[in-house]
Amino acid sequence: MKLITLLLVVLFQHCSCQNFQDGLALDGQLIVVIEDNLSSTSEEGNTWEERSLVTVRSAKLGQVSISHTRPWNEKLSKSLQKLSKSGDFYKLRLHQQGSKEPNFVYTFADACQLYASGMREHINLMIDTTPSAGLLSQSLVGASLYSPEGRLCHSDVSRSIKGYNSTVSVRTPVPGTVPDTATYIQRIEMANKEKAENKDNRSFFAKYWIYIIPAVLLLMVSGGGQEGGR
Amino acid sequence: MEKLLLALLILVSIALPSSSLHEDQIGKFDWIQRGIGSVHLAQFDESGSADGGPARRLVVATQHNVLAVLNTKNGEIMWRHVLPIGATGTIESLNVQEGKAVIVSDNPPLLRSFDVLSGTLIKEVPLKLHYKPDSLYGKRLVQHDSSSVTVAHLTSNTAEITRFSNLKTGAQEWQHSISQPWISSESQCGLTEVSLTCVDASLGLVLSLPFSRLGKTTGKEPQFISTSLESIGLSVAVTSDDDADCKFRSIPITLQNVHGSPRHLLITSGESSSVLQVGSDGSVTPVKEAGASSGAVSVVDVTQADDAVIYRALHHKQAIRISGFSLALGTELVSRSLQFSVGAEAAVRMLVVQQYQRRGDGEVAVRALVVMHDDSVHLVASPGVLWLREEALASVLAVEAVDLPIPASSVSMHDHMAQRAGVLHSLVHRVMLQGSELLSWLAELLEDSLSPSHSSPDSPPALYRDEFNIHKLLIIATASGKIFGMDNLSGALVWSEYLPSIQPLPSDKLLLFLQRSVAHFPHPPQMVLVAMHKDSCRGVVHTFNPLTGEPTGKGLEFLPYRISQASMLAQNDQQFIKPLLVVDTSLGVHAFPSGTELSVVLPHKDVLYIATRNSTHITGHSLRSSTKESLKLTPLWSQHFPPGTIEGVYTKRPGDKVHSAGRVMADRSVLYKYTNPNLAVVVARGLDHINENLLGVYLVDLVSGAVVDWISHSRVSGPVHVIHSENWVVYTYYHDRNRRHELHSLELFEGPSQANATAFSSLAGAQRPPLVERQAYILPFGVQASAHTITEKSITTKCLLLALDTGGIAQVARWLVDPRRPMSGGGPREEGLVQYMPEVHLPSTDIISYNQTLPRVSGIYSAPTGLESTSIVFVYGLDLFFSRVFPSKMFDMLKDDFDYVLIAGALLGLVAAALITRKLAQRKALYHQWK
Repeated sequence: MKLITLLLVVLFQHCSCQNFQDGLALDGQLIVVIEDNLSSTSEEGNTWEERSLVTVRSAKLGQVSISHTRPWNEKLSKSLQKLSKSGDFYKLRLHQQGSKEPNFVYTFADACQLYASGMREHINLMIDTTPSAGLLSQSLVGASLYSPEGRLCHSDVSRSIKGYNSTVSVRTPVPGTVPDTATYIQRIEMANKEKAENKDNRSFFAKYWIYIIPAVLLLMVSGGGQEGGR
Repeated sequence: MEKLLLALLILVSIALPSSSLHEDQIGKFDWIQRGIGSVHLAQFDESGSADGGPARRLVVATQHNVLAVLNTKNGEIMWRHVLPIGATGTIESLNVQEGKAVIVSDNPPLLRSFDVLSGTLIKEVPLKLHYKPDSLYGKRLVQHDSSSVTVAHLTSNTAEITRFSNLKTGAQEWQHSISQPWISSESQCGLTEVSLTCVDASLGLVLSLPFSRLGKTTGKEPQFISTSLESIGLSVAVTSDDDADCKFRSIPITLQNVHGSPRHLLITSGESSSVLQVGSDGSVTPVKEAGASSGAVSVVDVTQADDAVIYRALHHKQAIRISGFSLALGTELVSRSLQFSVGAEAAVRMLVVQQYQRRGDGEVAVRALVVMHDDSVHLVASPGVLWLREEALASVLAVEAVDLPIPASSVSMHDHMAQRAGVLHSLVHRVMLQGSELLSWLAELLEDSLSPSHSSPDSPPALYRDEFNIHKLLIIATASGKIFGMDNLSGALVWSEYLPSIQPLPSDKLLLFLQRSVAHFPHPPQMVLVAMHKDSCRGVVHTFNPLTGEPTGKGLEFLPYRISQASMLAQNDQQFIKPLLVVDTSLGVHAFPSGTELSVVLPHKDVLYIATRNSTHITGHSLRSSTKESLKLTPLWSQHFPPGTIEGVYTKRPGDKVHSAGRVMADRSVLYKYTNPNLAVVVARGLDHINENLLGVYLVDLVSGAVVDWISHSRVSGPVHVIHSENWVVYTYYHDRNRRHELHSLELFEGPSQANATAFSSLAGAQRPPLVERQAYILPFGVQASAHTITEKSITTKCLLLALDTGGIAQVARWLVDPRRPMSGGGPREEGLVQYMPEVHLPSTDIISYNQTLPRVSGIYSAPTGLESTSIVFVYGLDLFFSRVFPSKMFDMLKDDFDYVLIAGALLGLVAAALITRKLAQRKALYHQWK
């Protein structure tokens, strides 16, 4: 008995340990660096500035958090207002922290919408979790940025922006659907069983005597008529 | 007994009229044209001809891996065998003797012998090599005559030569491996009966290895005999190196086998060419030809009769002259020369000549098979061209249907109606116009009745729109650079135009855009073809009138840059031309026609996407920073698309219509469709960490770069065929683990309310991501190509058109693969949805090509007609097939077997009966009153 308990404990520990390891090994923590660009699109030059860090603890479970490394200030508000007035875009550049050659991902949003909503932004990160050749178990693939409520946009109104109001979400690939044969076969089997239960086990004559007897009678009558006519 | 009843029921249901085609309707709405592809080997079959007369059959092998026999009388295909695609099916050599066509193909090589008359396979002998000829053994050369086969494989620094002399068993006579530093799989070499002869442009030498030396010098490395190119009288054309990454780099000097002779080779450098005779000691001597001009000499044929004659084809513009030179006398044989002219200004690629005794006087007569660079095949005799086959149609790359114009008489009315005038004035004007129209119609009628056969048979039929706009002109662009205008109802060619300097774009595509339709009378319609230059790989834009094929505007324009992307705007300029936007590889944007005012372009186009070929990411660019003077692109977004390289970006068809914006649910509520016009399907394929196939499918908004849905299939391989329309996507693939073909269906909905019902904006930001319905189905067959039916207003249900591996074209209703098909039978049901079944059934009545087999389908084109129920379908590939489909049956037209007599008779009878009974009733009432 003791042995079994011991074994169970060991097994349990083993299992929990593996789960824990899965959580770490497959969903190794990922830090995404977000840089922004508040210069006009037509201007040349790289004016990317680091603004936030996103920590993705587990992409599958959607565990993400954002921290802003650069506080929002009046100068940024001014630049954003300028962009918004000229109908330009607010651009973001993202990359994974720690990678030797940063694989940049770019995205953008209408500056006017962001300004009008008071820097309310929604960042959606695409994280690849399928173990493919040459890539980490979690890697940043793409991103999109939009203002959650910014369809109507008045760039003339000057707003005071207190700071970032960011929400971050993560999108991971959905595994492809497989044709559901199991349910279908089950359904067919059920239908067959039902049919078998309701099956009429009477003999052919017992089932159709109501048709056969009149037919025979009719034949007899008509045959008799012919004989009589001869 | 029950089974008997069931069988009876089935019989009765079959006897009832079904929706499929009836036997007598075959060929009524459809036609099929069989093709063979571009011919690269050919030989006349002389066994069937009586006492040395002209051959009745011609055996050809093509680059599409087809072996066929043509009737020399009319050029019709007597039989054909379609061998597997790719290197395994390539026909390397052809030898016709004693009514048998012997070919070498496959890997490892197989010697196959076919009966020319019936096409049956008589014998198949494997040629045993001591090594495994896989991809490492790059280039293969085969020399083949009646008694022996020689196979050579060229790899870097090594040539493996094997001779087989016993063709019954496939046993080898000898084999040798030769190492030379200059040999590579790109070497220009030719095998003759007696030697392996190569030409190396960098060394400036012709190198020849006689087989006689191989036998003697066992153990010692055999030596090549070298001859300098200068002694032959050729110089190497210098090519510039600036287009090193151009896909089809021109080879400075080429060496090819000469048809009909196992001892001659043709060497070509630039414009000049020379025939080499290889002696059994390996010596190479140029054949002296009197009168052979250095101009456009193309192809040679040597007949090994008692007096060997060299035939050369010279072309000057559209005139071609085939002349024969006697090798013994060194003079031209004037009686054996042929002259003819061809429609297109193309050079001759191949020449096969047959000499025969004329029946009357016993003189030697000549017949020639001429294959041109535009893939057309001509059979020429002394009277001229006997027949012609346009084999460019076996490699169609782009198709567009053009509406035909309405007759000029009705145009005039519509044109004048546009004038603004007073009510009374316009009434008078209209009455006058219609009066004149009536008069012209009466005059036409009178003329027709007076001379019923006034239309001469050789004049082409007038191309005018028919009642329901089913008659159209198909504009077909082919890989050879030939463009055709084809009548869709008969399959007859209306015009053709050959552009010798173009080749397909790097993605193996040609792009056709209809910039102006026929609706803008008096402006002629305008179409533009986007292609690539043959030598420099730079862009080419050709503008032409699709009704006649004549160039309009600037015609053929050679651009100074390479094309990365081309798209057409949906908006017209003042001339009713939709501008074409071309993006070059250094991100410059150019509008066509070049004079287009940018004020037309700018308000309508905001973001362009650029997908680089064989890359892993897509970048979106904005045109917002453009000024009034010039267009400029600035990058906005960039996304990666794992797991590997991007295979394709599938946008919706421009002008894709959605008839109803929502779908009624079982509880009478409405689910709105997500109809984002900027949505595209991106397909990427790669391998995972254990080398299993991965397929990534993305739904991407190309303007904002946002990914709407992301599906990752593991252990799934291609080919992937995508159909994207309205708010749904269907794609097919092969499932490696389940070993079956599957179909994945997606449908997108906004939800129970619409964010903006009038105008969709990708930049507005999604309130919530769209709902995506997903479902997978099993396909019983593999798919070669796919498309969907298009109708005028998109009211008719859409059908998927799948070209199956079995050669049929299946029409599958979209609701059959709807992802919302319910899993259980209970509960209220949505309209038009039946319970889920994992397999898509393809009954034979849904095969629109009925019993016709279409091998190697490369694409399906569908276009709407004037009838909402009808859509035209054009299937291209090796064969061409045209048909009409009625996805929701013919609801707006009476069936062609409609019984007018019965209906009219019944109606008349009823009217008569009503009249008679009325009379009788009146009389009865009168009698009743008198009583």
